Amino acid sequence: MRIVISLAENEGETSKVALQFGRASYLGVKADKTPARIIVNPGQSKQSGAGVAAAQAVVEPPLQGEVLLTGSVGPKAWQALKAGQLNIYQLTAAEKTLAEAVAAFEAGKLVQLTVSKKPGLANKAGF
Amino acid sequence: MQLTILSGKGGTGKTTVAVNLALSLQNVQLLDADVEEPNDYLLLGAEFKSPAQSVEKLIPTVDQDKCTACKLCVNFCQYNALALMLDQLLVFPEICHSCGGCSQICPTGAIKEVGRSLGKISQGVIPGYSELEFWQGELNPGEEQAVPVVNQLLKLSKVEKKVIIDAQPGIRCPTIEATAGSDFCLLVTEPTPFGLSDLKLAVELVKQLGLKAGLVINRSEPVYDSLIIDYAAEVGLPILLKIPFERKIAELYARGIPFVREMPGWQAKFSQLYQTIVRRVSDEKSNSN
Repeated sequence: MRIVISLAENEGETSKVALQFGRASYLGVKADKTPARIIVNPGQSKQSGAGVAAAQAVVEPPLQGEVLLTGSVGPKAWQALKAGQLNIYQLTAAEKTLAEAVAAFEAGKLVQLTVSKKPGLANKAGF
Repeated sequence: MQLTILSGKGGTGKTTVAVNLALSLQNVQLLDADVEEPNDYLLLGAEFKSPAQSVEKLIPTVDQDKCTACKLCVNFCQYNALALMLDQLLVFPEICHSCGGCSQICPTGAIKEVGRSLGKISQGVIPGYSELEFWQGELNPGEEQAVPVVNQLLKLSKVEKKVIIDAQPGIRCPTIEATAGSDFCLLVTEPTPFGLSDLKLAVELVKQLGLKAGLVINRSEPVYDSLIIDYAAEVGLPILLKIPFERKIAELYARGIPFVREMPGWQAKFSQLYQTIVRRVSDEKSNSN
């Protein structure tokens, strides 16, 4: 199974996780017993549509994720990830690194997200 | 003449200045271009009776049968308004800037542009001031792009009127759109460190646009004003009006009453302010000739 994790740094298995998806600095993928592969998140530097760009990266090579581990996902990224049939699990403050996040997922400790957790600026407009 | 009222910082008194100035002059057209939060109508007591004009922008729609999932459009879009997920092309209309590039680049003609409403323009009637022409732009909740609404609102401006534009706070695109075509910029600030900091940004903006500008200090207090006065002197920005930090003005504001209606002498002050601006604009014209 190909597990994608949003990351704050590019330090292999000990990389710190990022709890926000669209603007995370890096995205890493861990597949079975192979070493983790980490790329710069293309959404990180986007003026707009960061979440959409990050979601696009998650489904494409080299990541090609089936599962995403992150803290929160904005509404547009959520829509894209759902269309890409990603299963999304929520990281908590307990999982500090890529290795810990994968271990927690494999141990069944993470909760699957069923709704977009973060309303996003767009949904707040007018209030 | 077209006059834009702006401020780097929100809450400094743009609306107060715009409304009180409009009520002190004849032959005025007031355009509330703070489209994310238009509120001139509250102080004016405006009534919206005629149906609003819709502001539309073009966004792509996808014929999924014709789409071959080539991803050219996704790669083309600089705003990430498109995503390709399991051969399904998704469109995110709020992000789209209506450039039309995706429909141009699509090799199979799968993308067509269609109109989508993102805001509206309405005309308000002000009881007791039937001569004052008032329009406001309003962005629909959830929409991200205010510029097309500001742009359509400004198309209503009439050269024969004293056009007063109440711009959005900040210095982003909607503010620039409301400012760029004006003859004069009236910057409103308050004598606080925040007021000064954001005033500097607004001054930078006005400079880059190459426009004439003057300053109004709102909530003016002699002990604190030096903060603004020193900076204004440094950059050569004339201070055209001070509105004192006074309980009576605050009380009237809280009750939704423009203070020129209740406080004697202020209509004359705003009228003088306008004359000063007209003089500065015409000086500029005669200098450049």
